[in-house]
Amino acid sequence: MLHYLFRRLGSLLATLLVASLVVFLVIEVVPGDPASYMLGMNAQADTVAALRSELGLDQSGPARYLQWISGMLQGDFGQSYTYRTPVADMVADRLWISLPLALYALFLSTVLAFPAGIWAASHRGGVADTTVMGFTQLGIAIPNFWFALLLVMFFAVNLGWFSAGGFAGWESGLFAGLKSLTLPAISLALPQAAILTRVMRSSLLDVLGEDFMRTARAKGLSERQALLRHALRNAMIPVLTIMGLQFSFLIAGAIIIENVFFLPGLGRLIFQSIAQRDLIVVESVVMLLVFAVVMVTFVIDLAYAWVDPRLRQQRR
Amino acid sequence: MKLRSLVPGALLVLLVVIAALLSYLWTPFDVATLDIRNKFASPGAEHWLGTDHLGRDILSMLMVGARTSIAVALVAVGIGMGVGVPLGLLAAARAHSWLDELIMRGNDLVFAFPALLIAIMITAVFGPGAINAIIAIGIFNIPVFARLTRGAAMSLWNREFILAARVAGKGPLRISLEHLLPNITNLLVVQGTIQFSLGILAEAGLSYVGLGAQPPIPSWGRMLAESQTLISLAPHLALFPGLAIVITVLGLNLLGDGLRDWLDPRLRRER
Amino acid sequence: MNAESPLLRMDNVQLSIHQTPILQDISLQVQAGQTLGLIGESGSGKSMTALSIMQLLPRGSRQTGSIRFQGQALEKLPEAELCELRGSDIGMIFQEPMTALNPVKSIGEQVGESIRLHRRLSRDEAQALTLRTLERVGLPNTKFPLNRYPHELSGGQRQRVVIAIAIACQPRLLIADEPTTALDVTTQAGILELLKSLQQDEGLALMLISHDLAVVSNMANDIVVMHKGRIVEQGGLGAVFGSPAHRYTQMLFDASALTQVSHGPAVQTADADVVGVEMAARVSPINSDSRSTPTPTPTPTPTPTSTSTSTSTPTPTPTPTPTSAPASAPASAPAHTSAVSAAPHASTSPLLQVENLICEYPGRRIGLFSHAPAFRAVDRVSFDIQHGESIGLVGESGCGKSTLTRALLGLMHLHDGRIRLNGEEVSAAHVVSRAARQQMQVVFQDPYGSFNPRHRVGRLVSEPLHVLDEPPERKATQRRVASVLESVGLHADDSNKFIHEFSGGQRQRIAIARSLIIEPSLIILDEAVSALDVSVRAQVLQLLDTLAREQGLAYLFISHDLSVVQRVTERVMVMQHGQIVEQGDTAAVFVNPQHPYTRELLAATPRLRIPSS
Repeated sequence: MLHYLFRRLGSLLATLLVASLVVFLVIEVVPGDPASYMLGMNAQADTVAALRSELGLDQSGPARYLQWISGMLQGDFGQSYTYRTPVADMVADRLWISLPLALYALFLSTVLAFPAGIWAASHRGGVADTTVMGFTQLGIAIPNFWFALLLVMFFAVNLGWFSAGGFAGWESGLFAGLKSLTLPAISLALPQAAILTRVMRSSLLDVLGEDFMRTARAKGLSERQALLRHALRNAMIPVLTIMGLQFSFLIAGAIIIENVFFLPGLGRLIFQSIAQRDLIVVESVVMLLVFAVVMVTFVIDLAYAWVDPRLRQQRR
Repeated sequence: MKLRSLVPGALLVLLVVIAALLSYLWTPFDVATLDIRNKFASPGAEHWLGTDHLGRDILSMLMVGARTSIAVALVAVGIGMGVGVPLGLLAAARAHSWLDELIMRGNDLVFAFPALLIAIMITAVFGPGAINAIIAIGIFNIPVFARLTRGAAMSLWNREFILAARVAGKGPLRISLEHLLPNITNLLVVQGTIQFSLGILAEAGLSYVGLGAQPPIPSWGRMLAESQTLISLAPHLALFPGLAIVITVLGLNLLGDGLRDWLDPRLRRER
Repeated sequence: MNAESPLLRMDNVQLSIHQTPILQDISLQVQAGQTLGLIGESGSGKSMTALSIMQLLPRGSRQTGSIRFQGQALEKLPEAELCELRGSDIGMIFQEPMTALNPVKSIGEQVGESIRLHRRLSRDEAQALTLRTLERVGLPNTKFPLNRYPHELSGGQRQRVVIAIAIACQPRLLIADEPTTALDVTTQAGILELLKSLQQDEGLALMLISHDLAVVSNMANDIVVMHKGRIVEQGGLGAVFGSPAHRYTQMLFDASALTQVSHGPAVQTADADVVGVEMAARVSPINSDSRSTPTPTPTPTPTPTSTSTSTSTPTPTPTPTPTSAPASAPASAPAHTSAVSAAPHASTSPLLQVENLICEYPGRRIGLFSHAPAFRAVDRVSFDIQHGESIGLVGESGCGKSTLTRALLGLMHLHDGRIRLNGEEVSAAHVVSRAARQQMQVVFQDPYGSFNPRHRVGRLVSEPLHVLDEPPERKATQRRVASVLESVGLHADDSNKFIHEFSGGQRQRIAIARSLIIEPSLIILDEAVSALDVSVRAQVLQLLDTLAREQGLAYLFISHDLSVVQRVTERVMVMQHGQIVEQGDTAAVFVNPQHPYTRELLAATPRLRIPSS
């Protein structure tokens, strides 16, 4: 178990290290000098040079890379070129919207998909199965931002139940905060739920064909008992994989959905920063999101070990 | 039974492809001409799907937009397959070597970047545009195909018919081309359809946030973005581009499912 | 229900799945405390008969007729009551122990579940009963605690767990569907022993389903023979086996008898009913056939001759003739067995020379730079194969025979030692000699996996031509393909078909054709007939026999199945833990085994027992 854990942890760190290098190099080759961009067209050469040295842009590439990651490790993401405020503070503010949104969506999609997938699998071939599968086909095909527009059109414009956008702020209460995240979370969750339902169903169907399911029936379990007690846990392995991947989709999706609902999250921040050539912010936010994806992968790996005793031993 | 999803899927895809191809020859109206007097026309006899805030014909724009979507998604799948499949075959042929390890870790690395993040980084460097969208989605497709190919090829490498080919003195390259590739084509076709549909969605998302095809090239995603501010004024502007995306993606997914059902049983029988 | 009525009674049971008829008119009875042997080849409907008793038929099944268990009509019982019956009054065990257990639940959970489902017991009582049940099947808690997971157990141990699940609630009837088919012979003996003792000690009725007549003959009181979904013959063991009435039974019986292991003296003296020795005596090894060719007179004693320098004439290797049945008896069996070397050879150099071969698999990486110790799969193996000789290699799964095969074929890196074919080193410094490859071919076990499903037979069969220095032109290739296809009993125009159009037996013929096309001197047969039904197996063995005589081929016959090896080889090697523990004349090894492991193997192999009815 420990060995498995250490191996995963090692590969996690390696991925992060290489990812940071890639992000740094990509941003590094950006044409144009942030300092002269910030000071405008008419800036004096010496003013630009002074700013460059203030921002640390006059140092060598490797030195700046080391500075960047050692800073990040200490929670110092540098100074925003545009706002001259610590990037860490900007990101922290936004994170309080993006992270709850992604988790809210993950929760919704899981709550929808698990029962639907199990229900479809246990009635395979029947009306229930066909109906659920039809809905999932549709759910996968609907782009989440379009679904978001439809939700706005219906629940905000026509019914007026929700506001069409913006964020109430956590300080106005948990309920108000969650309410402004509800439509975004639903639009993010729906396509993911559709995918998860399909994976759950097909994974369950695969397991139902296994020999040990026959053993379970032969010992006197009903079809339903056998499914819940023996099939579900085995079927979880591919489902977990997809849930891990989904988190990365949710993060990407959140960037777009935040724009639909004018939510001041990381997604909005990243687009503003691109528009303002505030590359250090772009760099940091991308790195943060990559970190989140990698961490989720790690958590999923741990979940595998919890589900599958074969991984707990030093196999694999 | 088998044809239940294959035929409708193929028909939907065919519809979109024909619309896209037709747009090269003819569209109901010219998409570049603005007709402000006719703005926000509701769907009717003249403009079947109505007009937008600049009086352009929605149907014509959708037809031209289909070109962009299909081209971006198709090339992105091409990049994914063209790079991913050889990498996967290579990794499988040298399974558990340092090369295999390198390829797989590289895959993990790319997987850590959601497609949109890749697009954002590329855009941050090179600016927005259809080409950059293609590259971003293409890069994202590479590990998908590499993993699929490696997994399938690895299980084939242990099959006895591959051993027989090795006994006949055939090398890894020859075996990969003669024996492995034909046996994973089905898988690749099915996955290709799925990635194609994901590509359509990704392209729409990118152009919605302004990272895809730039004006004046019409694109479904940007049409939706433009409709957003006018949503209470002219809801049909938001409706039709979305439906176009749904139809295309649904068609491709049904086609993928249908192809899998159609191709798979024969494989099972042969086993 | 009176005491005389059978425990289980099936009357006129018909079964169809999606309108395809599977079972026709099945009527049989199982008496309380008795063992019924259900025999048939694959596809005969044995398993479906079992599943219809359990009422666990696949979707789309339609069953008519009546199945009465203890007087209750099972097909009329509601599902809830059937669930109470399954695992409580009727237990079932399956063929594949490796997959029959849930990999994510401990053995204690899986056995205990069965108990808690049917018995109202407290947690402690249930646990105690679980422990007792596992102990009954030979898995004492001291060595196999309840929190073990299936992947920590061997195949035989897993099958014991499956049996524990089935018998935990002391059922009246236990259905065992090919319970030992997937197991090694020594493991099989243990499981059969267990089933027998459970049946005798607890008075449960056993329905033993098997394709293996020898297994059934040692276990059953009554026999039912199935063929293509019908019962072709049934009755007491003595009646059915003593004088098979139906043509199919007779054929099955002959084919089984033909591949029957004969044993040393112990068998004959211990049990006069055993016909194994006589049956085996009717059989003669490949290359030494004396029935159809006018070869020099066979001497009644096996001699170690096994070389033929000429390739066209049949090798005059003497063996017991049909009339000299006791030839393999101890008195006449010379102790040719030796743990060291093969038969003495004076003049000719051997075809294949293996010297001190070592193959290792690198250990799993346990740290960044450290590896677990390497696993030595083949350990200092040396042997020769003479031209035109047929030699067997037997051993149980994991003994290293597959690795050895791969090494011989040049598919594997040799850690140490050398392999020479006609004096040519097969793989020196990672490069496999083309000349060596031109002289050997292989036939694998799986008639389904051995061919690329996307190529036509012509292309499949001609693939080895690639290894020739100058592969023939298209026309010549076609001619060669046609001729090899005909030589294995197929048609020349079969070359345009795809492999899925052929049956298992035909596929093995195609595999043999493929191996023949470059006219090799050595063919390695890696479990080549193990996947075939017994009747088809006999035909393929016959074909190999004929080909060897006509073309002077040498065979290396690798198998876990002693009967096949005994049937077709002149010499045999026994492998265990990567080492060859014994080699010598086949007859001598089988009659007078020297190494304890060989003795164990022979003792564990079930023999066809025919009661003198």
